[in-house]
Amino acid sequence: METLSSINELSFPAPLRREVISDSTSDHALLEATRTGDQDAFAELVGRYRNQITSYIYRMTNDYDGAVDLAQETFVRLYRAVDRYQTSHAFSTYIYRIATNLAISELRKRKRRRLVSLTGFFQSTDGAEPTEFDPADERPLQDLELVDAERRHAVQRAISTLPEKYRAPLILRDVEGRSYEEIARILQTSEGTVKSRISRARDFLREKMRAYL
Amino acid sequence: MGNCKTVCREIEESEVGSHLSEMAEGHLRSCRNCHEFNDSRVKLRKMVAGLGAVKAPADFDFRLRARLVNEEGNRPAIFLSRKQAFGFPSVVLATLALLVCAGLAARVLWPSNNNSTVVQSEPAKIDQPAPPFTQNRPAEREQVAKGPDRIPNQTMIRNEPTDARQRRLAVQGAGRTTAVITKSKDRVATKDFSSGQAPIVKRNYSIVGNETAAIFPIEAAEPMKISLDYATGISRTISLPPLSFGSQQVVSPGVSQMVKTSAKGVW
Repeated sequence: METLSSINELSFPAPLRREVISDSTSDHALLEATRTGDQDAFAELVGRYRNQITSYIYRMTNDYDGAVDLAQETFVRLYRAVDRYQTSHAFSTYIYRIATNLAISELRKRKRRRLVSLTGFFQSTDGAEPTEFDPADERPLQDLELVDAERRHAVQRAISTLPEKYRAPLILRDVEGRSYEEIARILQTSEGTVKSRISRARDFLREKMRAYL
Repeated sequence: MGNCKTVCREIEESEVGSHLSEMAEGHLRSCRNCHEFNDSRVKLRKMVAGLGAVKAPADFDFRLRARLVNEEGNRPAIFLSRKQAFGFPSVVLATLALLVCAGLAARVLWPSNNNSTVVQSEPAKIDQPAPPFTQNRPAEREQVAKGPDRIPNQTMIRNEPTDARQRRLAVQGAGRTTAVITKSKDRVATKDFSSGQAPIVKRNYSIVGNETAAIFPIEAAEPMKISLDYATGISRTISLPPLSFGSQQVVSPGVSQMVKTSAKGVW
């Protein structure tokens, strides 16, 4: 340690520039800064995760406007609970857990509000959501882009018909690319359960997407 | 069969596009079911992965900030209301207790005089015409029989002017102050001499040897008479025997007599 000969030699480090913060600061550090009142740190966190969270909730609910609203609610809840956050888990696990709970709550609300429709007659045997009557289209294929778009819509519709407990792990694994370990922490269950549910979800999808496979 | 289960499990848990183990690859070459399973799984996972990410709208940050500001704006009120909710009952109770204490204190310090006994203490007036008396409540009327003897110099109060709530009872004795008793409709008659000046009784005495002691300026030998005059015109006279205190005899002033005292001492 250097010995100072006069008070003038004492210098304080320059404040970190925002660019340095955005490049190298971890999520935990940003959250810690948010806890001390740094609004820019929280804005940085929002910038990092807003697309992921919005996309995840959209895949869960199949409703874009609702997904945006729930994504904002996710960040609001994160902001409110910033003092209670513990660094023992990864930040992504924490925020995805909030988003999952909000999405599942929304799905359950919709179930209670849903009117009986003719498409509800096609119910799967294991108590899953009623499947929509969607007969195969016998017309010849047209533009490939339109075909791809239609396939994506079909996949999204098929996913939206999955039960909640199968939908979340499937999206987190096959859409988001999360590991089984992280999915288990997000859903607060075991890895074996996660793997079993993902396998079951893929079986369901395979039945619904048989025409496209 | 055991290999098919293991291979299928490996296919499920593998990453899309990654290579399987040599054992699994070899099994797939020989097992048609597992081969079809692998193909369908790969296609499905590619389709699902091909959904891609959905982007948040451009004004997401702005709307989030507005929402947080709104939350912050509501939070102090909510926080205050929670605080108030916690402290409000205590404040209310304290205020009520203070009001009750203040009311009690006011009641004790400044008692209400409404419908209380009215006392007029006036010097004895002989032959004073009595004011008229009117009584509206027969239930409160006291029927007093007239006394056989009327003491002269009595003041009879008749036809006293009163309101519906009052009744006057005149008590007068010879040489005494006149105490007027007013009775309200809800109260028991009481005597109160405090509103007028009390008669001054001078008492000069010294007991030294055989000196005389004038105790009271009364004629102890004569009986004390009290007459009660009611508004209905009925009067009642009460005659009291001469005063005596044990064996003591009150001597007349100017007479030199030995004062005999009782064992209780000089009064």
